[in-house]
Amino acid sequence: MIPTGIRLGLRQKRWLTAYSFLALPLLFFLLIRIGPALFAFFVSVHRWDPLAEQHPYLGLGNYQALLTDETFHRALTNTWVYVLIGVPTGLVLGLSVALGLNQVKRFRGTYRVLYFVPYVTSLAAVSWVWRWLYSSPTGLFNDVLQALGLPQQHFLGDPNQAIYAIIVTNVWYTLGFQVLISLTGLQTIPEVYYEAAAMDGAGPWQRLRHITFPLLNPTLIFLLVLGVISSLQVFTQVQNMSDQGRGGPLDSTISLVLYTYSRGFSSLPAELGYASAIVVVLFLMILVVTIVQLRLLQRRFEY
Amino acid sequence: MESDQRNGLEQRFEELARAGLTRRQALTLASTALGSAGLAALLSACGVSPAKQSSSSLAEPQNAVEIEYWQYHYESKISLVNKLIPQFEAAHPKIKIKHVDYPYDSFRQKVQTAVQAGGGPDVLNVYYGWVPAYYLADFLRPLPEDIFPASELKRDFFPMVSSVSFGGKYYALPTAVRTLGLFWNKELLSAAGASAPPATWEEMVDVALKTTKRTGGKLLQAGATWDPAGQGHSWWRSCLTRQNGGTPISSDNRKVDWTSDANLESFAWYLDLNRKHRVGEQGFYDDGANAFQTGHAALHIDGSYRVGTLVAKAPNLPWAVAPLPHHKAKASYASFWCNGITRRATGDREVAAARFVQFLSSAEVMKQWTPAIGELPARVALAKDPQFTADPQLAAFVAQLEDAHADFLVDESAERKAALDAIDKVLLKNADPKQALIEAQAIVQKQFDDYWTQVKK
Repeated sequence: MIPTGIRLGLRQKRWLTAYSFLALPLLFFLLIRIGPALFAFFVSVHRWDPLAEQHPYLGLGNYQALLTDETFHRALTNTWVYVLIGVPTGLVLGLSVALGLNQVKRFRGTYRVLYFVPYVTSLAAVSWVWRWLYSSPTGLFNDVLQALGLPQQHFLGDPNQAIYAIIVTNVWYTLGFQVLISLTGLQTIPEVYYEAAAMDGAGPWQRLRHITFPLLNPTLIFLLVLGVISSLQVFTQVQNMSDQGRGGPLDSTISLVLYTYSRGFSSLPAELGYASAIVVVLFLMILVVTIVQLRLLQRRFEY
Repeated sequence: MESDQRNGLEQRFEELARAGLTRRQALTLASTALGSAGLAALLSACGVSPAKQSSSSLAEPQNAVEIEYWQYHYESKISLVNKLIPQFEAAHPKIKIKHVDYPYDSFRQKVQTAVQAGGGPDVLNVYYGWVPAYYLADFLRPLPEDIFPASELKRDFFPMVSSVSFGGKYYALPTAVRTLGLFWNKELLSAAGASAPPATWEEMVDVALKTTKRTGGKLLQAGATWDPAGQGHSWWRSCLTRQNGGTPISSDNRKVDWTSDANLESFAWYLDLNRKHRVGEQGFYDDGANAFQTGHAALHIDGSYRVGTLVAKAPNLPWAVAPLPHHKAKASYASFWCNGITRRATGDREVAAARFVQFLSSAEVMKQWTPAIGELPARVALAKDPQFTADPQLAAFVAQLEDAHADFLVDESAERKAALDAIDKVLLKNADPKQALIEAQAIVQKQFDDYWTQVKK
């Protein structure tokens, strides 16, 4: 209630209502998300065993150690492989399927559901099913290869193949989401533009290039930013699909988040300080990438 | 300061006790003395951490106290401990035990989180390989010498238990221990013309070759499971190397040796099962235990805890178990879960915790433990009981207890990773085995060096 004596205009009242509603989630975010995130910066300059009573200050020691940590370098490279190969593949496939579905008039809903089903499945369950499909020598894929007279593959057991095997699973898993969002984007483009262009003699490729792409741009940027962020944070798939969740064989699939987890929780003594240093690096990376993406790509938001 | 005072009081108490006071008199005296010591400590508020000091010389807690016992969730262990707690509480009316369990995968994280938040267990069930890290963090208290005299522990428990002692003090005690053994499928062996399980390295290769089946290069039946990430890496490092005359770790737990000739040979012999003899493959029926359990493998190295799984899940599998095949010497690997007292348990809680640990490591509990869980008694005297030595499923494991080593671990998962990476480098990247071992040894030695440097501080 507003105490009498203070007279607020309608505008101020609206503001007050809006901010009081916003305050609760804001408080939640501050305490549960932002607070701990900032605390990670503090932890990252200490040797931090959660069981110890003392946490010695190390300065930039943890960051210095990162410079010579081969597994960290491997995790960094792998994470970029997940991003640079996985995200474009997913975008292109998702858009292709969406363009196809946009042409289909019958059973469109059924198709949409079929493509979306993997996305509502538990990622851990998906990872394990794919792990068994890839399994060597007893998995389905190897049975198929054998039936076709092709040589057996180790897939997840081969340091040269494992990361791509995981990317395939990733792309398959997120395809439904990409298709759904792209399809929604496509359906917001008014049909009259295409009709007008067709009348002017534009072929299918020209229509795609000059009408669909520009008008779909906000949708694609949205998918790109989300895809890049989630690929930078890839964890569950790698943990479930590599032997004992180690990101192997020979660190060939380990991601930054998985490495953070292994140093912060699996290692003995638990090194939360070191893990936090990795998280800070990841945070800075995501920050820079997101800013760059928004700056570069938002320019083309012209209709 | 507080601890100095207490130590002085303890000494006086012991002197008085020696001077012939009755137990009751001594207790009253001690409780008064300790009470005033506590008050003095509170007033002076000197705040010295008592973590590495033992303060209990009391038989029972002064006041009623409830302590928390934490262990990971293992169905048969949970239900047995639930039955044991009333037995303990009946004998110690002032002590109540709150039994808490968490899934194995999140167990350590739960402990860490709870401790950071100021809670956590008084008595913790801990894997022996975690004790060094918990000791370093001052998280575990030494077991109080008056209830657990080190000389008695050394005499009564198998030598491997000393791997949880530091500077002559024990930091935890097991109820039971496990060793590795050779599981063999009677039907698959007799079909291949072998009537007895292999007793030596040569026999093992011979039997495994005879029982391996392939079509068009694809493995149908493994002669021996190939599962480095299971027990394979322990079998190689701890058993095969010792059987070959090597010592994987120095007796003071400071230096690891993975690159001696004995280790190189045992490494090569182990790898040959996969690369030369091709009797088993990585991921065959998911893992070694599953391949054996489903009847697709003739020989399988695993721990005694596997007995329970096989009895429950593969009642029709014609299996038996034998000691590990030996070479120049005999050796097996041992590991165990043990119970330690945490920093949280002070005063009455520490006494109560000590009594509970003592109870869990007593012969009476072990007698109930082995039949229910399948793990072997940790007390030497008990393991020689015909109840266990004559048991067809346990005999082979019990027989190896004397030759079993629980190697000191700083960071179990990092060390396992180094071992598995060495294997992968040779098998997947054609690396030189010696070079792979040199790299692995460097990683593990660095862990050890870092650890011992921190301990000295």
